[in-house]
Amino acid sequence: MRIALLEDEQDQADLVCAWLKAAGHSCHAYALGKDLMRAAQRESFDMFLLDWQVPGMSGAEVLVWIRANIAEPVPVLFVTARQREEDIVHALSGGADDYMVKPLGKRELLARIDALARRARPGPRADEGVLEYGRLSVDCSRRQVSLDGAVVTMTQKDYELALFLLRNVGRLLSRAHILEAVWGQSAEINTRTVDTHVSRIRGKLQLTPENGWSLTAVYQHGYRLERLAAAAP
Amino acid sequence: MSDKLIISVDAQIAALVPRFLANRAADAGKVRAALANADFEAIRLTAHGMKGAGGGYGFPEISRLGASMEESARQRDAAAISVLVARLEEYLARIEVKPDPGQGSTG
Repeated sequence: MRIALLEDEQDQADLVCAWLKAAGHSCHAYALGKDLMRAAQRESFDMFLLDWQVPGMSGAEVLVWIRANIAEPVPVLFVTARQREEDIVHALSGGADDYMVKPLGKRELLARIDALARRARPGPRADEGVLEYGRLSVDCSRRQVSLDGAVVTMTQKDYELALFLLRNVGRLLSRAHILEAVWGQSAEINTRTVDTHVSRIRGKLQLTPENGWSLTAVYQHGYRLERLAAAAP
Repeated sequence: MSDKLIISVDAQIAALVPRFLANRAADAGKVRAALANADFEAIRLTAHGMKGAGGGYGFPEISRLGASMEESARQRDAAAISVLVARLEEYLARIEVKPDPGQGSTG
């Protein structure tokens, strides 16, 4: 997952990011709420980890901003040294999905992140079995996509891109998010590569309105794959 | 008292540990400077940071010292802070870090 972290203590941010990366996530750390908000306006994230006490705008204020400005219900986990009951209630009633008190333990943090992700995106894991999306089916063990039962010939990157988009139907995904999810965080690949591959799978998988799909580019942001209700079987 | 303390740290974060420890040594200097100016709020904030990160890096003693120092700063207890900062410096001087690949999956 692509995770945004609000943490002003550099040592703490480095530690959490190291844990997240070792667990297969990508981590984007921001020391100030305004920097995280600026990033969230142009990028998509799968989860936010917010420290309460940061300079300037507090984590609680950033949470209010996230809930008011990000259309999708992206999970928010509060991570903070505050442990009074009223603080916990305030964070949860303000829209946080979970709460952890410092000092953090790696296993607990990763377990809570996984649990939040499962609640946010229920359904089979992306590496399990066959996923059905109308006329499309994804065989995760064979890494194949079929259209009306016929296997579609595609590269591994095209397969990973198709699976990522299908697992995130309805979400606006930034190009950087797609790049990280499919090519990895350290990949030195131009975001235009994303455009090329999206165009290719749109054609191969017939992700067009007449087939019940809309795969649209959103100016200066990224792509959104949507299921058109009228055409869904 | 000068015996080395061998501390096993999670191999996944071993590369971060030297900077973490250097920052804690810098914290000790900050606390001493703040103590000279009776700036207990600065001490409390520094100690709070120590408390939060120590355990995660594999140094619960740093978290414990930070917690005690934070409480002493709240009580404006300069004598207790002097003792705690000396303990922190002594602890840092004795540490020898050993990366432990086995901790990678157990935290």
